[in-house]
Amino acid sequence: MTFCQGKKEALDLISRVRSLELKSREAAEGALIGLHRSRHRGSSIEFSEHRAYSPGDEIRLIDWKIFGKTDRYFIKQFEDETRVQAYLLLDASGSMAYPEDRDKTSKFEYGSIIAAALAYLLLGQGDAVGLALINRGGFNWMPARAGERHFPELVEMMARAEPEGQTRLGPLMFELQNRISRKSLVILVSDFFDPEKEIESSLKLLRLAGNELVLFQLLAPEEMQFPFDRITWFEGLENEGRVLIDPGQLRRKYLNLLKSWQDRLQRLCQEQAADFELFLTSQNPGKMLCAYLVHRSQTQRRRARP
Amino acid sequence: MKFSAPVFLLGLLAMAIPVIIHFWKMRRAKILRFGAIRFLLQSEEVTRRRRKFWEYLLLLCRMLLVAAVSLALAKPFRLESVPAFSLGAGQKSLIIILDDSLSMQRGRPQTLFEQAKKTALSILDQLSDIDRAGLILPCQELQIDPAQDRDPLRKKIIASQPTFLRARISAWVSRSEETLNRSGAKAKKILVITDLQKASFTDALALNRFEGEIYFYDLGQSGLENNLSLGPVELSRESLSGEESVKIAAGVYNFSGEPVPARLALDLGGQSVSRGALELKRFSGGEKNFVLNLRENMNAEGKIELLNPDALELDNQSYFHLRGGGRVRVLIVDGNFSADLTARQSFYLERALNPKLYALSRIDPEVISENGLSRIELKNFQVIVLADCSLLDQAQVDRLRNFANSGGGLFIALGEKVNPEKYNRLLRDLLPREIRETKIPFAGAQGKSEIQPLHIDSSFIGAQERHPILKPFLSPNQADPGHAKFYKYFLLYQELVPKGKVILRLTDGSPLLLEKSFGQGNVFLFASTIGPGWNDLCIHPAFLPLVHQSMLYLARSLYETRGKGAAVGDQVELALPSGKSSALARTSRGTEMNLQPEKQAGQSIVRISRLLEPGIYFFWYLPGPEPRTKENADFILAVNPDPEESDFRKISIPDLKKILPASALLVQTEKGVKPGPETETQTSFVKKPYHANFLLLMLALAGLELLILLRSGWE
Repeated sequence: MTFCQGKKEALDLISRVRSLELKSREAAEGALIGLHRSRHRGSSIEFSEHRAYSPGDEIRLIDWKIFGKTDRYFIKQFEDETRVQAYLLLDASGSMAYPEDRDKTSKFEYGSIIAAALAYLLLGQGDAVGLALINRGGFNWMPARAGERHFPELVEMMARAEPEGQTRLGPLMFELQNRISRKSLVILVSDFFDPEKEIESSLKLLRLAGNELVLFQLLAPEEMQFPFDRITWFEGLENEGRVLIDPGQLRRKYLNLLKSWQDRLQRLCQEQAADFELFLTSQNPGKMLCAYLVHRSQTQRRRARP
Repeated sequence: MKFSAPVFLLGLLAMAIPVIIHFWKMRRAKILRFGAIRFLLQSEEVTRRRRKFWEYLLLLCRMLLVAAVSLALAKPFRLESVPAFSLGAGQKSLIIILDDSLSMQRGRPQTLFEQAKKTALSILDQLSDIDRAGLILPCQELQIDPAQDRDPLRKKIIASQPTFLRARISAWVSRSEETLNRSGAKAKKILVITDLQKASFTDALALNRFEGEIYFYDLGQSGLENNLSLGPVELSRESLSGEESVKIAAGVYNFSGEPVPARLALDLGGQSVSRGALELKRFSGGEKNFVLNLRENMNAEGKIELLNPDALELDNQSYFHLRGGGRVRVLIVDGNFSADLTARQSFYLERALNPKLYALSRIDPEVISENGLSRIELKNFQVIVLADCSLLDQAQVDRLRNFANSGGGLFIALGEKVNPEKYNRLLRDLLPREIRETKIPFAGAQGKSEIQPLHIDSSFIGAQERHPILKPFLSPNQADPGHAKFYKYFLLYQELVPKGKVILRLTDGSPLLLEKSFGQGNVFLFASTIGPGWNDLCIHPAFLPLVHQSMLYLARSLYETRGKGAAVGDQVELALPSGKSSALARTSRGTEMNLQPEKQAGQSIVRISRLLEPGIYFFWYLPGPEPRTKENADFILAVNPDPEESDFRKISIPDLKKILPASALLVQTEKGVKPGPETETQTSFVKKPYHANFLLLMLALAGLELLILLRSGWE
């Protein structure tokens, strides 16, 4: 690599990082709602529940009124916004590079914006955020850390990544799960063009470890609508080969297959109690994220107060 | 296939254009890197076979479309050989004889007659304007004399249909020669378009040498095609009492060069009732017999059919008709009626007519005295037998006359009580002949050895024109009536114009049994006694069949065991009964003919001059009962084709030259020319374009392409 090339790439990277930072902040601004509730109990004005006193509990937390009525010690518990560990698993395989036109946002770019925005929000809440960029049959790992200074590192890692190569979630997931040290919020951002069994086994694995799962499926509008009409050589982005196709003849069959795949994916998520959200790269990421977060907070409240 | 504009065949190269476009489109296709390729690959995998099939079908369709356009533009045609007789450039007079016989209906997919019509039309096209042309359709007896206007000929040829008849080609050639000789034309030509069937040249003609030229265009192939045929059906009654049956005998002919196992089916009343087979040697005939048990009151059309596939199917059926068999009530008026049964004149007759315990009979006799006749309602009987009656009065005779006139049968047996004068006076118009005196053939005999009784002349039974009642006696199993002895009988007057016909005679020539038709009925006169008085016929075995046959005949209940039916082409003449003014004939196909009478020897006769089609013909005399049904038909005739017409063997050219001497005789087949020694000729051809077929193909292909495209659009 020459100096000029290196300098140009460095400048390119900086501009990409800036752009991603800006876009993700912009996306996060409209979505400043807590993503989750803490599992740790603490002192807060929001009462949660009572439990029997056990040695070692703080004396100040004993509910004396109940002691007066029942002659037993109960501890008052309060819900508190506390630090949560979240992992963003961003698919950086070849298929995420679609569409490759410069004037269109690729699925990977879109996914990066979504991931960065989420990281911004989580870090802003004091949570720890980790990142795994999955590509070329492996992944780049950044462990979960809290603090706003962690954000530029995450953004830079995403900005440096180029989507390429095949991705098989199944084999990678064991290793990823080993790195996730405790129960976490795991957010998968991908097009999920992987075999159904691998996705199913991955979700089960993450779920069994007690993680909370959120799946964001990213698709380009061209993939959803298949608007092509001329005979075209279609070439896979993950070395699947190429095939000559008259789109008019295959459109209906393709759309049926895609639809049935999405239905299966949603069913998998329902089975594993995971959130599922579809994002089209033509949609505004901020609005979409905001809509999802509002929806999530409402459903969490409903769960909390049945 | 030949082409008028073969340069357009270069257009066939354009068949490559759809293929080139196909590959060019493939090459020209852009490459698009696509994320969701997985689903595309799956879709493609599922539909690949079906899509490939439609793609290649569409490609083939387009290639054929281009080819069809090129071929249509190249104007394809085929050459058809046409007779290339040296018709000459000068003015000529030509008569075309178009063989329209039954044998010309063979040939697949196009019959010989259709080919003959085409050939005749192409010959007309070759003639120049100054030529004169005429036409003969021999079976239809249609002749158009030579003229310059050829349009009537063309119309007639196009409209003409082949017949079931036999063509007499040599006779019509002779007529054509006469016509041409009369016309005075210099160049006289006769063209016969035929299959050269030998049977068409059987007329013995003594022709002068024709100064013109005779051409034969031979359409018949080898003449040895596999063909079977049926002759007329012969019916004969098998038994006279008990369960009656009929023997149906059909002549079967094999006109092919190979032995054939012929398979036959018998249909009666539209139902298949029997099947059979018969081994036939090459060019030979045989007879196949079927025996059918009959039921009462039968009236059915029958058909024997050959089941073997052969060159001509129209000659594979032979028709017949069975009718009769109802119960018959006979009234016997006994002149010797007495309480002692054996003393009665009718004792043997009554038992013969219905032996009751011994055999089944469909005749029910009833015996009365002469005095009892006035009390009897005659219309309840079909036949009345007068057995040695003295005839009481005119009133009784008038009743008998009315009975016979309205269709009843009268059997008059004579005897001792018969007074010839009284009989001749009272029964004059009923009697077949007037009665003279009695005769004892051995009167005046001096000794027993001189008593020589007479017998029935048996030669009558074998006569060609025998009466239907005598038919059973032809069988060797049947008794001979000639054994009976006659000692006494009445002589009858000879008449210049016979009113009736003699059925049986005695050995001295005297008439014994005579028949006369009276009104719608018939009268039999038996010149001796029906009992044992004057003869011993009643104790002979022949008595029973003879009286059975006579009563059934008089009652019109005899099974019609007609010998030979008529052949197609025959003339039919029927004598109109008195009181009838005309007749109506209807064929089994439903064609009706009104037949007006002609006077012939003082008798009204209706006639069909030629029977044109095979089948069953029903005749009704008019006025008659309405509606006209097959049951009340007065006469039924089965008509079959002449089996000779099924023999396709050809006449040889030397034989042809002998029969038809001419200055030039030439035979041309479709394959080549067999010239006579005095003529040379060549085969010529005419163009038959068929580019229209390719235009139709283009339209069909364009439609198919549209359908394929629409189909892919719907998918």
